[in-house]
Amino acid sequence: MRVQQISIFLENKKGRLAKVTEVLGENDINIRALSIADTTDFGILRLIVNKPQLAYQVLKEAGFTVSTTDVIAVEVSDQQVG
Amino acid sequence: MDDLRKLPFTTKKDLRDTYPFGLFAVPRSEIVRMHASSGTTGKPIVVGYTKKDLDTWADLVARCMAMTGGTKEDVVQNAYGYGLFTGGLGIHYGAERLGATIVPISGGNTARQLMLMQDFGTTILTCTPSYAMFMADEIIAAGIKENIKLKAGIFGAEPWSNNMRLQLEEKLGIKAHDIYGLSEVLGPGVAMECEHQKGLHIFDDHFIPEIIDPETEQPLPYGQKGELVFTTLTKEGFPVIRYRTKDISVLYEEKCDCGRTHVRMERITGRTDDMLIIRGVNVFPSQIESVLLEFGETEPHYLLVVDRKAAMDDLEIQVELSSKMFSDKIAGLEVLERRLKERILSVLGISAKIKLVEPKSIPRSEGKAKRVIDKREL
Ligand SMILES: [Zn+2]
Repeated sequence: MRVQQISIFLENKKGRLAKVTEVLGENDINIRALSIADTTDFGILRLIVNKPQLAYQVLKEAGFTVSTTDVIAVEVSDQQVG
Repeated sequence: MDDLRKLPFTTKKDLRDTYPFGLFAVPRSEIVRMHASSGTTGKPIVVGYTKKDLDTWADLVARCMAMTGGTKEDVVQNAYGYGLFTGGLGIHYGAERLGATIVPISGGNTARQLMLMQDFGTTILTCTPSYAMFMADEIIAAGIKENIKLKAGIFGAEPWSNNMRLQLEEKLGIKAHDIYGLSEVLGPGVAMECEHQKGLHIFDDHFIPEIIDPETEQPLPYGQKGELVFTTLTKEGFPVIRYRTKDISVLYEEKCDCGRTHVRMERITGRTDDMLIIRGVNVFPSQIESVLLEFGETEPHYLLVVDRKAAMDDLEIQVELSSKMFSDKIAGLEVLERRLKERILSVLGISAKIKLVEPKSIPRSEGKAKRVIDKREL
């Protein structure tokens, strides 16, 4: 499945991640997957959400540096195997 | 000359207070062109030129080009911005007056600049030194130096170091000449370096230069460093009397090795307003800005934080990361930081820590970002 991944530039400062989830929450956007890559000074937050276009737009409006990339996602069922 | 010193100074504030045409010395109908400074906040400074002023200006810029060995055989690629800024049109009409072939490409679009530079056989490049450096690096990276026929560069509109000159000369295989001017006095063509590069020849048949102590406002003798002041002799539309440039320089009266007898000024070594001295090096926020501009941002927001730790000055440059600069890979951002650091080092001659920050995180007042925080206790 091809999905859009949202990447957000974050400084390593208190409250920035919370701000992202707050903006998404206010717009009824659910986070399906999340990862953070970071250095001592900054990080890149990568999100898979249910409404990627809207997420891109509202985060941009909230002043974040955002980009989108197409990624291949594989759905794995939430059951224990074996 | 002694009588001139009895006259009061003209300051940038006087020009601002009389916006837009208050200091024009002829009826508006006699003005055939206007230019305006990019300025800082609010209204720009507007200057007007009569037909005769434009004539004088073209003559002086042609004189500047001749000082680089330029003739009608040359192809001049003018990468100064065209518009209200005096750089583009000032150089343009000077090159035409000389009879050279002018390529009015204006600034930006480096790929196109390099294509035309090769295809047209450009021999003289005119632009800001930082843009010249950017092009030089691109030329080397693209491996096309052999196709470039440049022999001279006329660089100005921002302060640059001798170190940068040497690099430009080596990278482009040219002689790099410093041109000086400011719209309040004329635009480019107030002073120009000859092939000996021992200061800029001030065209004192049109402008009277003085050096003053910026604090006491007293005139200083030749050889002493201070603020450069100009009085125009032949301007009609917008003459100025004892205009304080805020540029720091030194005047020399000895005849130059080239035989010209103009008073010479040392290349601008600083400003009385926004200059910082870091590890003994003069740093202008505008230099940082020009580097950031090369990286594809139209309105870069940055903050210089200077601190002194263990008797060493530390310079941190916080740069707001724009969408254009953003890479969604850590490695990509680290490369960006490293490239910025390298460019800053080559332009300023000092190393700085680059810190990428989020958009709008640098505080702004009156729409203009604060550029410098100096934490040193000097
Ligand atoms: Zn000379």
